[in-house]
Amino acid sequence: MEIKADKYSITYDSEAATVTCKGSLLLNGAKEYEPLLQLLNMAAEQQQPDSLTIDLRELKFLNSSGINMMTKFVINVNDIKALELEVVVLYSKKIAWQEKLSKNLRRLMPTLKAKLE
Amino acid sequence: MIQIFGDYLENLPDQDEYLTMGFSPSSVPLKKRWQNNGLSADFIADYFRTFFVSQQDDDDGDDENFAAENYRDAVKYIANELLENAMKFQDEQVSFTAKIGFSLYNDKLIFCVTNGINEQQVAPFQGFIKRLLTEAPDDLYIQAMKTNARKGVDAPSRLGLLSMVCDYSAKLGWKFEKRQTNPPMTIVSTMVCLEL
Repeated sequence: MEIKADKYSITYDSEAATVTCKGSLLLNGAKEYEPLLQLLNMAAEQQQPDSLTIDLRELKFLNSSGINMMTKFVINVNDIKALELEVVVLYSKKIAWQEKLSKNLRRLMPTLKAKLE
Repeated sequence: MIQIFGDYLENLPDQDEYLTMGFSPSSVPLKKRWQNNGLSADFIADYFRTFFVSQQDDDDGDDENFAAENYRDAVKYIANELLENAMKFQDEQVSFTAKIGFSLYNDKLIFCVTNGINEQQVAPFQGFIKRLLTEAPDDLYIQAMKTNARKGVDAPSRLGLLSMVCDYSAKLGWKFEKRQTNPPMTIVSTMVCLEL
């Protein structure tokens, strides 16, 4: 399953249990991010009780509404739905904001694994 | 009436390098300019990167490149957030040209975005600013994330300004200037200082 636009794509590969985010996400507010959040939540529901990887390495830019989407996803998995799911975030050492985001996500979900590649 | 909050400098130190971009409500409606925020932020970030790289020694290599790219990303993030906020909260009923200024110094960068808001927006915004200036920003940041996860999509997330403080160690300040127009309007200037 994929959500694709000129400047970004979000692809869910159910066999690889991975959601890959690419490009630049500059959507306007939570309403425009809702379909992307739904994709993430659907992937999480489908992969429990195993593992889901969120691959951010080719995501160049994320605005604060995008940060909001990511934190909503993690809170939904960890607190609201309390899914039995291991969440792994792959991030790039070349993109500093990805490390900041990973740290914030781990504050919300201490079991989240952040892998630097 | 003028009100100042946080680290707001009325008079910026003299600078050699600066950019100002204006967004007139008489052309395309501000809220339709969303696509342009990223382009304008990219322009400011590339302008900064050229300046920053020219200040470095030629043989500093990969470390300086990495630093330049990280600062470039930080400049783009902050410029984009400020522009998004100006577009979101600009009251299109009032004739006011929103603008963003970007000043470069050897040791810091200063952004200042100015836009017009209506009277109903003033109290909630100032309430948020007062919390940001008196409470622990990291706690507010996490609290905002948790609150956002349980509320509707129309509520403002407030994460943009909090992330500037918590993720980029930026200093923020505001000036509110009430104008006697009909309808009444308040001009808000948001200043962000990023140390290099």
